[in-house]
Amino acid sequence: MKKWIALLLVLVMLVGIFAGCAKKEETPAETPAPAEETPAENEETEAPAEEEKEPEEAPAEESTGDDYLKIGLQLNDTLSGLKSTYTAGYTTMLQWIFGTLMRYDTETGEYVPALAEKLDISEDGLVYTVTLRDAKFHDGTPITADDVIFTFTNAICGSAGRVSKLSAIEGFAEANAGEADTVSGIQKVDDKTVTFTLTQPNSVFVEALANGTFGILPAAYFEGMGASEIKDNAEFWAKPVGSGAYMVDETAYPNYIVLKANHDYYEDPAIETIVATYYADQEATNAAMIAGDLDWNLGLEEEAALNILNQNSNLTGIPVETSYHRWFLCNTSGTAVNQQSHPSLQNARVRHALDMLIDKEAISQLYGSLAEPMTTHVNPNAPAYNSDIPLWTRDVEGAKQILEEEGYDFSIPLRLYANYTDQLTADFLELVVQNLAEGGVEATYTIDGNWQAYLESADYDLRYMATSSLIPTTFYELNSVAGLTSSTRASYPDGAEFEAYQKTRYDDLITAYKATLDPAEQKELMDQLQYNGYEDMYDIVLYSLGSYNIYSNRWTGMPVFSSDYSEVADFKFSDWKLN
Amino acid sequence: MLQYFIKRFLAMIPKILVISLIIFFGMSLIPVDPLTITMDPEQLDGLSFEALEELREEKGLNDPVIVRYVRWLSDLCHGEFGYSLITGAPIKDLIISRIPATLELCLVAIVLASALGIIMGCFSALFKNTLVDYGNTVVGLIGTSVPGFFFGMCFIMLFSMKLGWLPSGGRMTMGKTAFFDRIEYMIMPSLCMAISLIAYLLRLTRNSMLDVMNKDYVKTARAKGQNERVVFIKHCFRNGCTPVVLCLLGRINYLVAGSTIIETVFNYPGMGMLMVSSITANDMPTAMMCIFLCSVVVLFISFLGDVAIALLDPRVRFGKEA
Repeated sequence: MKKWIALLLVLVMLVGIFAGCAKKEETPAETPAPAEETPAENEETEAPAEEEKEPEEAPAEESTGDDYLKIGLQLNDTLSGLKSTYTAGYTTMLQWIFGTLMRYDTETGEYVPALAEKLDISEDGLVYTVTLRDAKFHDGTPITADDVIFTFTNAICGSAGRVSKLSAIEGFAEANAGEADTVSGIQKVDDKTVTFTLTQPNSVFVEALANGTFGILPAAYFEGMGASEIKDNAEFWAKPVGSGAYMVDETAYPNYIVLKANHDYYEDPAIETIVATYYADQEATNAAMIAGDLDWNLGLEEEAALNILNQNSNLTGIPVETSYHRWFLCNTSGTAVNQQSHPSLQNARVRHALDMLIDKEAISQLYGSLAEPMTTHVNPNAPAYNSDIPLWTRDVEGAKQILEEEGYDFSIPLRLYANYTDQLTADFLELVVQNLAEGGVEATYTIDGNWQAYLESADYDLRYMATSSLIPTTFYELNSVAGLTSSTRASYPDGAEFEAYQKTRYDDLITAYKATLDPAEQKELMDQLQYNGYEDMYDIVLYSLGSYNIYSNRWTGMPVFSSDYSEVADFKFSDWKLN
Repeated sequence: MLQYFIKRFLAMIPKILVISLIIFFGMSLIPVDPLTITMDPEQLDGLSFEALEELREEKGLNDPVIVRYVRWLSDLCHGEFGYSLITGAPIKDLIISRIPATLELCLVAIVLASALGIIMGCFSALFKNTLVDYGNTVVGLIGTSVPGFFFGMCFIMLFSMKLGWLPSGGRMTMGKTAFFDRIEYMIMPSLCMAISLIAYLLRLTRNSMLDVMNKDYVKTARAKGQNERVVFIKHCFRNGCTPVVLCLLGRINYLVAGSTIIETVFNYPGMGMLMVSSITANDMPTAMMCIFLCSVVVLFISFLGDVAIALLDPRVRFGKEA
């Protein structure tokens, strides 16, 4: 009898296990029609990523009973100042609390006034005059020119936020170096008017006025404080007084933050309450999304996004193209820096040959349907792409021929390096090694998260990098003398000859690009930059990587945009609706 | 008896010192400037190399390692835990914000484990060799064999994702900050923490009750015509549970140590999650402080357990003293 009961229990357990492990039938993720390409209309900037449609209005789902919007935050985010460590959720939330002077309308491609009532730019492009609205802080005090000056001065003096975007302002260098307490190029005209004077025209300066890291702070709360004291003012940041569409109602770190609508904002928010919950990591956020505990998740990888969408039919996923892409930085510094550097890499034709050997199509497939091979740093689908540059194609025989003509030293293995420690990167490097082997090029790879150790040693030949930017010239600044940073300098040759060459090929063109407001001129300059980058091939650009935005079906009205715009986008708070 | 307690307390001190030595030397191996660990990072911004060197000299960071260890220990005793490498926040503040979460989770887990484990064990003993007993045996086996985090993941998938009955993680939300409002957040993680303890207590209670139920005084009580329920509760249960309670006190520290993984699975912002997230983020000073504090807490709870056992069971203290 006992044996039969025991057997029965075992059977029940086995049935339970198999039933639980049964694969759920996959349902296709809900996605709207593919986004249309719309040319950027803004004369001042050229957006590399496509404009996206708003999500199709899904049929109204059963109300979850929560009448507030639910978003997620990473656990290391606090409200302790406009620090430089961001995740998409944190940056966005700060922009809801602290308004900016301008915003970027992702649907029209234009910068529109926000806390500014209007922005006038002088004919020579040097003076930006901002006239403020009659807006108030959350404590009811008016936002004045003093607060604007304070905000930008604090950012420059304290190197807070995306301070490099303000480098065109007169007096920036002295203030940023700590040699001045004020910035000479930022002047008060009257209580509602501020001027920003630049050292030279800069067509992308408006982006700085829209950037969420320069949300307007109330100067009255920080009287007599230096930049570091502002960040450390725990009393203020426990419940900050902001200038944005939402005010902080309650903070309970490390659990949640509650935001309430600021009905004095120029654009009355339609949703009254937002609750931001802290999560330890992306996996916890994804689990919450599946469980219906969140209404929004930005910038997800395809696999994670589809997994979420398959398990919760109350969500809509929208694939978005971004400017984010990955590439190999070629170490052309020669043996001066590192004795083991491959000497042939200093030859541009050799770099082209390597580019032809790497199977970018296969690599893109590793990363899912949102990855696409690239030829230059500009996405081939973007209007800014130079169509005179032939799109990349793989040509093993052609590559072999070039390598032999150029006397490539096959006896020296090529060293690849990556600081991403995930398995996918390891798989990717294995694939690249195989691709190179088809051309007779022996290669090895190293994965080491301690990338600082490689800054000066340049102990690699090809280094796996990633970048993204709203402004396409940013990519070519990596090749310009001005753009060489501590993480890339050692990979380039030393000496005046190199600097002069780079200045002509990149620096001068970037300066000219930013100095002109004429779209045709900008296109011509960007085409030339891309062509120079293609010719020099200091960077072997590999693939672009899009991402998914996921929204709950009960929330409509939020514009869809990629993470490229997360710091500048106009959120259109008055259009939001919770069903 | 006081002597016994003092001896047990003093025995903790060398253990704590050994742990602190390991932690200190572990922190010395971290490849970062110790100034960034011991000082507010905002104060170091913009300082020149010479100024930093002076600061190191002033802080005694160039002193011999033993001197630095003693000074570090003294700072610890004064509550100076250093600063997080990631957020720059004082580690003490981070820890203080997390301790209540871990404590309440452990408390709920203990209550659950005690109640369920003892009750199920009693039923097993009462209905020995029946379906109830066998069922509890299976539960006990599963509870001791399967790790708690596996149950956690299953619970989340079932109760949060599929059924939507319970939140997938977290400790509280707007409007649900009172203890009883937060029960829905605590059910799954505390149950996962308690499962292995339930299995252990179940077996222990069963065996203890069976042992007591065969005693002569129980037979006498039955012979005198007492109600079976009275016999069970008054005679068997009260005597049978004493060793169970003693063992429970000795196992509480396992709960504290086991909170790390459970809190991470359930995104419950306690000490365990702080430890894991700081290790993941390479914030070694925070991680090591958490490890050190958890070790001290576990030792202290063991000490309290020994005290409670000694108070309840004179054989323990008199046996040692003899």
